[in-house]
Amino acid sequence: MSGIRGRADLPPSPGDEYATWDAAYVLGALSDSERREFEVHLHSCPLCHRNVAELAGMPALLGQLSRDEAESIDEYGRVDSGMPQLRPAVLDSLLDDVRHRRRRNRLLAWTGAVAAAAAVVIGLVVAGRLDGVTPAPAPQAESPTMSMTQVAPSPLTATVNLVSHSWGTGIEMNCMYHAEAQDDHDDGDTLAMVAVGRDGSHNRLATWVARSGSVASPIGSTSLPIDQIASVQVISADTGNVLLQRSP
Amino acid sequence: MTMHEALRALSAQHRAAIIQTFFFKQSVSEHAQQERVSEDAVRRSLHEALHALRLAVSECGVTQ
Repeated sequence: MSGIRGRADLPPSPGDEYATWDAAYVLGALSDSERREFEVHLHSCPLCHRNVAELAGMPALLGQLSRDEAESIDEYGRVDSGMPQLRPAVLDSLLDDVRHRRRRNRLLAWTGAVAAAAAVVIGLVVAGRLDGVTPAPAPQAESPTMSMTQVAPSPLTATVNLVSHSWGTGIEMNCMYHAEAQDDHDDGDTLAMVAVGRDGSHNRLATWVARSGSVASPIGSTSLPIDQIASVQVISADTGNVLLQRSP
Repeated sequence: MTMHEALRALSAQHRAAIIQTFFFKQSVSEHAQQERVSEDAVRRSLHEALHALRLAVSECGVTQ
């Protein structure tokens, strides 16, 4: 069978009954009590933490489809009309790589796991949904979704996608705030998206509250053309400290 | 590749798990009852399916 194949033999870590909970968590399919239970587990499991971070951008991608579009897939059956199929060998090798990385990463400290996760370049392109209010011409150029790099230690991981328009640049972000032990301030931290221009300008484009275990999808735009953006940052709105950063 | 194509390339079981939980807001336990499988099996299906989707978009890129 061609196509994307799940692998029955993706091994959970020995003794880690939560190893397969990541997707249900990210998709919001766990019950409230299961979700809390898993978040407690995330405090102490870098591997699950990292798997959740890897999947954090998927709801936004799935959200490109409407419910009707998704449901219609099975009505058309699986007869393909010349659509390029994934090469199974490629997928197998990627899955093998995932398994290998999982084994290796059990040995890594959390900081190491974050660095490794940041190194995974996800070469996907998200078309601009920024233009939702009025039908707009197609974006001039789309850049791949990019992982953001940690500047200061924080429980954040994020991906960012820049879309070039005639009027400037649209910026879409998926920012995961991992549950951490310091939950004595349940109000959450206020974060901000900042575009740094090559001219030295700093513009705050969006703010949001990061709550433990949640994924925020802030969207912003700037009049700066994409080639005039030096970097996009996630900062603490209160202190101004730069937490994550990515250059186009 | 579009997300439509990526989902279509999943196995029927994996696709149903993703579509019913994400688009139709079924919980793991609701989907387990509907499909007459264990909750562990549903969590495992979602785990395999979503990682496979992520690898697919990582390999092929995805357009709208």
